[in-house]
Formats: sequence, C-alpha cells, structure tokens
Amino acid sequence: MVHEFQYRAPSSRPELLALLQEHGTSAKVLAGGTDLLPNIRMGIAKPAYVVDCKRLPEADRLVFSPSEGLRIGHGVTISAILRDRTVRERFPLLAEAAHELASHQVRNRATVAGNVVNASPCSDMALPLLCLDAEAVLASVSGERTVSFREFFTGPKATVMKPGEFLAEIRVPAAAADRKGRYAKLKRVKGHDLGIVGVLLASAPDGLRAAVSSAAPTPVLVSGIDASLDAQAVDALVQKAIKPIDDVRCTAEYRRYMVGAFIRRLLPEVNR
Amino acid sequence: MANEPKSTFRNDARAKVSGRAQYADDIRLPGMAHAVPVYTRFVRAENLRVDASAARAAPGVLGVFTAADVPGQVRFGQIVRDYPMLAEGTIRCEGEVIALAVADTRRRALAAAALVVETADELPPVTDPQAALAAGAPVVRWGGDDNLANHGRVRRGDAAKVLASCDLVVEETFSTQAVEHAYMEPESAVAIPRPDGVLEIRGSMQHPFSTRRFVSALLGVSLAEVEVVDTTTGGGFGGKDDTAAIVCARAALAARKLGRPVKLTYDREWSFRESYKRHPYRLRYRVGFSKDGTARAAEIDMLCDSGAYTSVTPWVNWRSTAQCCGPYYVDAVRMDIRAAATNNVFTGAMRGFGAPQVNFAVEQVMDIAAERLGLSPLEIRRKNMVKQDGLTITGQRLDTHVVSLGQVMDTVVRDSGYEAKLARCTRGKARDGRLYGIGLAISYRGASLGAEGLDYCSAVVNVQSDGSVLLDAAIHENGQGAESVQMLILAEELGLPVERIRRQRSSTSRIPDGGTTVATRGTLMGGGAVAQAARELKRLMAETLADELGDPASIRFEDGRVGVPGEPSLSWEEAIARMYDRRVYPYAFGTFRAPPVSWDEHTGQGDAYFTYVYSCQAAEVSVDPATGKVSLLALWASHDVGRAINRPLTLGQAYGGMVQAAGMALMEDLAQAGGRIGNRNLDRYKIPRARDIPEMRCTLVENPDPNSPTGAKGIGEPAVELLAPAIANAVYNATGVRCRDLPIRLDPEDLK
Ligand SMILES: Cc1cc2nc3c(=O)[nH]c(=O)nc-3n(C[C@H](O)[C@H](O)[C@H](O)COP(=O)(O)OP(=O)(O)OC[C@H]3O[C@@H](n4cnc5c(N)ncnc54)[C@H](O)[C@@H]3O)c2cc1C
Repeated sequence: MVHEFQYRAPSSRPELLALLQEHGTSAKVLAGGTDLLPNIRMGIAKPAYVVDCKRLPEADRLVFSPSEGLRIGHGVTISAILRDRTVRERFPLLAEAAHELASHQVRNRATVAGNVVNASPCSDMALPLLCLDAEAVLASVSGERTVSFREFFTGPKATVMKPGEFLAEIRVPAAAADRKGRYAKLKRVKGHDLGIVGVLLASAPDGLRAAVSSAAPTPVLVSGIDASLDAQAVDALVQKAIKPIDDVRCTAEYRRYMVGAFIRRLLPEVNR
Repeated sequence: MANEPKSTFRNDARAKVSGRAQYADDIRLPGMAHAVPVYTRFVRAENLRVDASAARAAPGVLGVFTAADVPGQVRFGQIVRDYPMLAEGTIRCEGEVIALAVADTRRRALAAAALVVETADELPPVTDPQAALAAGAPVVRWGGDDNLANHGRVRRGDAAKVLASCDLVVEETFSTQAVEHAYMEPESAVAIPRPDGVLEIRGSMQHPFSTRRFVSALLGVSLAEVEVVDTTTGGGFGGKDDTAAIVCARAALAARKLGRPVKLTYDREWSFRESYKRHPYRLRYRVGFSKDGTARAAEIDMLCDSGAYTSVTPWVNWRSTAQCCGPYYVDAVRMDIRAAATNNVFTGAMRGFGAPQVNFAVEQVMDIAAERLGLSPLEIRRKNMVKQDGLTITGQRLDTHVVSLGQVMDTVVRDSGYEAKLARCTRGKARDGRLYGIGLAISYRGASLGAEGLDYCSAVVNVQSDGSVLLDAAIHENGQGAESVQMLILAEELGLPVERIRRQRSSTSRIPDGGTTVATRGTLMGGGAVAQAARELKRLMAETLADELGDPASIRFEDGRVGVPGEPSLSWEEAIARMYDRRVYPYAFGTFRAPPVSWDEHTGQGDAYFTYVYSCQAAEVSVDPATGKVSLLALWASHDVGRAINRPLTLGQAYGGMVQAAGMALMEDLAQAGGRIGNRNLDRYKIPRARDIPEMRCTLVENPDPNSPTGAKGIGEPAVELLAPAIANAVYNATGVRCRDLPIRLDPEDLK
C-alpha cells in the first residue's frame, strides 16, 4: 500500500461534518472499510483524509418505533441487522438480503450505509431498501436533507451525495413493516461472492415490486406491478427497466435470461 | 514386513497449525533490503528502453537493477534458455519484469517502482495459437523462425486405413482452459550474501536444485557458490518452478549487488500476472470402433498454447503423447501435438502435466461411443482398457506390476452405486425441477519422469552416538508431507519409533541433486532412496556386528532391537554404541535409480514409464435447468497407489486433487484477452470453496510395486487428472448436453 493518508476519528457529528466540509472531495468516510480499503490498495481511491465515523455515539443505533419507523445508524453492520430480532420479524426483506452479503467476517465489519454509499450496481442492501421505501438522511454543516433511495443512486458508484455530505442514518417507514418477499442471487461459487445478478420480489400495498441488482448502472426498482400478472408479463415489465452489460463474470444476455428465470421461480413463492 | 508400520504422522503439523512455521516472508534479518518487480506496460513490443534515473533518486532507494546489471546470463530455462529474468530488448508478454527496485523498506521500493520509465515500440500481440502457427504469422518465439515451440507424435500402424474400415467413427473436438495453480503462498525469496562468499537462498519453491541453476546462471557463478536452503513452502502444484526460481534469482542479483540480504515477496496480483499456467489445449479426436466396442484406430491432433516462453512445454506435451489414448489399448494410432508460442503468459508444469487435458477428451469419447453402440460405459471401458501383460499404445508390455484398472473401476462402481444411479439419470427431463446425473472416468498415469529425463534420487542416514537418527533426502517438502513419508519409511526399515528420527534441514550443498519434486515421484523416488539408504546402513551394521550377533543375512532390525531372531540381541542404542566403539560410522548414503525406460521420438514408441498408477473417479451432479448451474452431490475415487505409507496424507492428496479438478471442471477460467489477464486475484478468479464440494470418498487399492523399494507408487497427480471428464459425463447424463469445453458452462436455453 503506497498511498499515504491522514487518519481522523472524530467523536461527534459536528466535528465530523466540519472535517468533511474542510476537506471536500479529498476526504473519505471510513465505516467498515470493506470497500474503501481495497479501493485504496488498488489505487482506485486516493483520499488525503480518511475520516472514521465509527466513534460517533449514535453510530450503532438500530431502533424501531411505530412513529419513526426503523432507524439504522450509519455504523450498523450487516451482522447487526441479522442479529436484530425486530428486523428479522418486522423487516424480513432486510435480513434476507443481509444474509446473502459476503461472508461472516465481512458482514461483521461491513455497514448498511457503506453498502449504499458505495453504490455498486451489485449492492445487496439496496434492493430491500428500495422495496421498503427507505430514505437516506444526509447531513452536512449546512443541515440535513432526506432523499428517497429511489432517487439516491445515479450511476455505477455514483449517488446524489455532494462533497461534504455524510449519510447519517437510514430510515425505513413504519408503514413498510411486515412486507414480505423473496430474494435470489446468482453467484459463481456457492460460498460468498458478489452477485452476477440478483432479484428481490416483494409485495407492497401498491402491488408487486421487483428490485434487481447487477443488471443496470444502478440497482433498479420496478413498482406497482399488478399482482395478478403471470411470470412472463412481470418479466416483460422488468426487462424494460434493466440494461445489463457484458463483463468478466458473464454476458448481458445471460443476465437478462437469469432475471426471467428468477422471476419465474420467485413469483409463486411471493404470491403464496 | 514384520514391523507394524505407523501410518499417521506429520512432522510439520504442530508448527503449521500454531503459526510457527517460518515461511520465506517471515524471515527478517538485520540490514535486509526489500525488492519489488517493475512490470512492463506492454504485451508485445520491441526496442525496450528503461530509464531508472528518477527511481534511483527516490527516498530510501538502494538500487534499481535492469538486464544491463546482470553479470551472468539474463535468459534461462529448464529446456530452452529463453526466459529473460529481467526483460531485454523485446517484450513478449505482460508478465515481463523490466527492472527490480530495491529500497530500505518495501513501501519505498514500491514508490520507486512507479517512477521507472519504460519506452518501446508496441506491436500487436499474437494470442491465438492457431493463428500463431499459420503461415505468415509474426514470429514471436525467442530465437525461432516460426512459432512452433514443440511437435510430438505417435505413429503406430496405419490409423487412416483402419479408420476407413471401422463400424463407427467418433469425431469430436474439445478444448481446455489455462488454469492458475493458486498455491496458498505467493512466491517469496530472501537472498543472503554470506561472509564465505556463498550466496544463500531461502525461498518458497518446488525444487531447490532447479532454483540453484537459475541463480547461478543469472549471477554467473558456479553451482557450489550458491546454497539453497530448504524453507517451508506453502504449496506448489507444479507451479513453483521457473517463476519461483526466477524470483529467487532476482533477489540474489540485488543481494550480490548491494552486499546485503534482500527479500522479494510477491503479492497475489504479481503472482497471477507473471507465473506460468496450465497449458490450454485444443484436441481433435477421430476414434474408430467395431460393433462390439473395440477401439481399433485413432487419429488425434492437439494444439496447445505454450505462451511467450518454452518452460517445460515439450515434457508436458510428451506425457500427452504417451497417454494420448487414455488407459486404452488401440492398435493403430496417429497422433500429433503442436505447441505454439504466443504473447500470452507462458505455460508450464502443473499437477497433472498434460494428462487432464487428454483425459477430458478420451473419457468423453468413450461415453459417446458407448452410447452410439448401445453399450454401457463400463463395458466399453472393460473391453479396451490396458490389461495385465498386455500392451500400451507405445508398445510397452505391462508385465512388471499388477495392472489394476479393472479393480479400481469395480471399486468405484461399487462404492458409488454407479449402475443403479446411471439408470436414474434424467437425460434432459427434469425431475422435481432438477436434472440428475452420474458419470465416471478412468485413467492410468506413468509414474515419475519416464523417458522425460534422468530419474534417480539419494538419501543420507546419519545415526548419532545416542542412537538418534538424522535423515536427509533430495526430495523437497512442498506441503505435501514428503518429509513425513520419508521419516515413516526410515522408521519402518530400522524398526524404530518415528520419534527417534529427525529430518535434517536440507540444502543444495549437503546432498546430491535428486531431481525435481514433480511427476508424482516424491514418495516413489525420494522414499525409495530413503529405503535404499536404510538397507545400506543395515547391511553395514550387520556385517560390522556379525561376530557378536551371528549371520549378517539373518540379522533383523525390529522393535528397537538388532539381532538374529531367537538369538541374543542388542538394543538399537547398544548396537550403535558398538559401531562407534569399532570406529565404523553408522552412516549410509543410498541411491534409487529408476529402472530403464526407452523412447523413439519419431514414432512415439517405447517403454514410456517403469510403472503406472491406475485410477477411477466418479461424480454425481444435480443441474438447475433454470440457471444452468451444476452442483456436485458426491465424488468417489479409487487409486492403486502401490502402498499407502501415510494413509491420511494419501487420502488428503486424493481429496485435494479432486477439489482442484472440480475447480478446473466447473469454475476456473483465466480471463485472457489481448495477452492480458483480466482476473488477477481470487475475487475474480474463482476456485472452489468448502461449500462447493460435497462428500468425497476415496478407496485406496494397494498392489505393492515390485520395482519400487517401498512398494509405493504415488497419488499427487493421478488425483487431479480425471474428475473433469467424470463431471462432464455426469452433466451429459443429467442434461443430454455434451460439454466439450472447459470450464463446463451450460446455456439454460439448451436445458428447456
Ligand atoms: C470479500 C468481500 C465480499 C463482498 N461481498 C459483497 C456482497 O456479497 N454484496 C455486497 O453488496 N457487497 C459486498 N462487498 C462490498 C462491501 O463489503 C459492502 O459494500 C459493505 O456493505 C460496505 O460497507 P463498509 O462499512 O465496509 O464501507 P466502507 O468501505 O467503509 O465505505 C464504502 C464507501 O462508502 C463511504 N461511506 C461509508 N459510510 C459512509 C457514510 N456514513 N457517509 C458517507 N460516506 C460513507 C466510504 O467513504 C466509501 O466510499 C464485499 C466486500 C468484500 C471485501
């Protein structure tokens, strides 16, 4: 690792936001580091400042209340999601996706916030967050704004976040509790692996939802699908929304095919 | 043998599981500098110029070395001396190292490496072996006037003529991929200039003696001026020869130039980029059968990619030649194999060594022929397999050992329930949403080097005055358990508990070159040499102590005692004390020379190997018709290893080999394009994990080999050479789709 950087670990949010304001694009937030550190090592990210956000007192907050819904602090790890009883019982879609993300070791460090800020098209956590109408609370020295995950992703590894902004918290509305669905992720090996393609089918009040990863520049959500449609019709709708590419893992054609195959497999399970 | 042999032992287990084993990268010495390689930006280019002035001026830099700094030979190789240990003039692949940056810390060496400036005239790479051999192709082979790196052949009878009169001719084309060894420990070396003028090397490697040749060539010094000391090695699988040796040679160059110890440790990306791979093959088979299933003739053409440099391509090809018809006798054979030089990273030795590719083709041809003739896969194999006292396609008569091909096949058929399961295969009609199949393959494998090279090995047994024993042998521990096997053999021969023996740390200066630790020859040759040394020691002791103990020919070494059965005997310690009293050292040097072999390279005929290992493996698979994904449900194996000296390690080799073969069959694929490897780490180059592997069962068959001093043959390579076709046959029986290319990929459209 040749790249050298300054490490900062502020213990309050104002301190952290001030650092991000001061250093702008030359600062990177460090959560679990499972994306950031490999990127630094490979020379893809070259931050002058690495700002660790885990010392903030509210980092690990994971609470549910009927008034505020589920609040996921920026330091909440994938393992914490899996361990939390409320999440498992009331937001099973989150647990279902979390279970597919990487290995035990990585899940113990990786955060939900890091996963969405990293904005990989193959992000596992983006899919349930999209299906659950979740929002990102973005904080900066000039205040907070809230952005729905439907607007959050703008391209591969790109989001609406501006320099100086920090993802303080993820909120899942209480109204989304108890939404059920099924997730299927295609991998190259049976152990942990990034997805070749992933499909989450879930039922919501406005109809069926399909969230798809690794099949477009961003994770894709198709909502308001008539629940009485057959798999072929659902697939046709989803195919219009995705735009897969060829890469080292597989071809665009295979990705399109597999999205259809997963819809055919998951639909009867979700409609049951 | 009278002594009940202990058969479970590992001398390095405790050190390894407790993290105390010292690998090359763990070595830290005062004043040690750190070297890193600087890679070319090109795949193919001429007029290379390297400007290291900025790098030399960087902080902490002690030196930046290029080909211009080499006192000896820049180019070296095991067969052809073509590989530039530092690039010179022409770039032939992306793995070439143009300079070595050395600094007081690794970090500073890496920073300096980024400052080396390279200019050259870039040329379009030649990456397709077929195109490389076409007339008019640009010549990319070093020192050649074409790109033909090797041509091997078999000429037996008139195959074309016989084929024309066959009832059935199966004509099929197959391809196999380049495979990375993926040893756990990437290459690493520490070179130490010693006060006595000798350059000492400690490093991760397969063969200390091979490394010594590379080092002495690069430095231009004699073999005696280089001492390669055994260092814990984290796996090789055939892959720690040329590249690992070159890494040692580069560290040696820097150490010699700077007069201080230098460490050069590779990361995974460098290892992927530079190290040689398994040869990708294209194989075309035309095999003629009579109605009863007898294979009568074969015309075979193979083309393989040798990459930018030769390494051991001719030897790998030679094994493909001698075993081109798998374990079957065919009366008339015409076989040609050509190797093309290209601008891909070079290809070389890998566990299996030219056999997995051939077996992938042959064992599918057999199933195809059986189906077309209405025979069972077992019937057609039984009919054609090599038999006791029968001939091989190279004209060798198999009359010196037990030919047990039928026995191993029967074992797997029984263990796996093959016949009943074969009847249940789905053949494309999914049951409960899944496709199910079972498949098997058989092979024979010539043990050791055969006609590839001189085949002998030595060992030294040196008994101390208290009766404790030091053992040295010229076969190197790669992590496979070679030392443990040698110690078990010695314990059994001397009738001592293995705890009385220490395997001394070997070095190239202490024992004669015993040949390389390759070709499934470790136990056979290294263990054989230990047995010979032990017998030499026993002869010496029996003769020396005959006046006290009686007829030397009747003296036995059992249960820690020495004497003629029924007569007064001495304890081992007493016997050793007597030897010292008589001023006769209880010291012996033993050599095992492989029995003679023969080969005519124009006809591909001769006694290729002095013995063979017989194998059968089977795989049971389930295929998801929606995704085309293949899951392994169970794997079986049976191998005639001659004798299993260390049973758990023998089984470990079998299971490890099957896992490696499963990777080759189903997932491993080097993403090469334009001579560049797109997946240079294990996040993108996928090898099997525990969850990809089902229950495995290996039943060992033991027919001791009369030509092996211990009765043992080997297991390392047989284990890896036949599972891919077994899986391909299982996939066919499940889906009705024949997979002729590796890795196996099924298009779900074909499964509808
Ligand atoms: C071996 C391995 C396997 C993996 N497998 C998977 C997988 O199967 N599925 C999957 O989706 N991902 C996978 N990943 C990727 C990664 O683990 C996840 O994306 C993880 O959730 C990232 O979280 P983190 O806390 O480690 O993020 P970090 O690496 O700390 O941060 C990621 C990015 O987000 C930024 N960031 C983090 N938190 C904030 C914040 N609060 N505000 C602003 N910016 C922030 C960082 O600056 C950085 O750019 C894998 C990674 C590895 C190493």
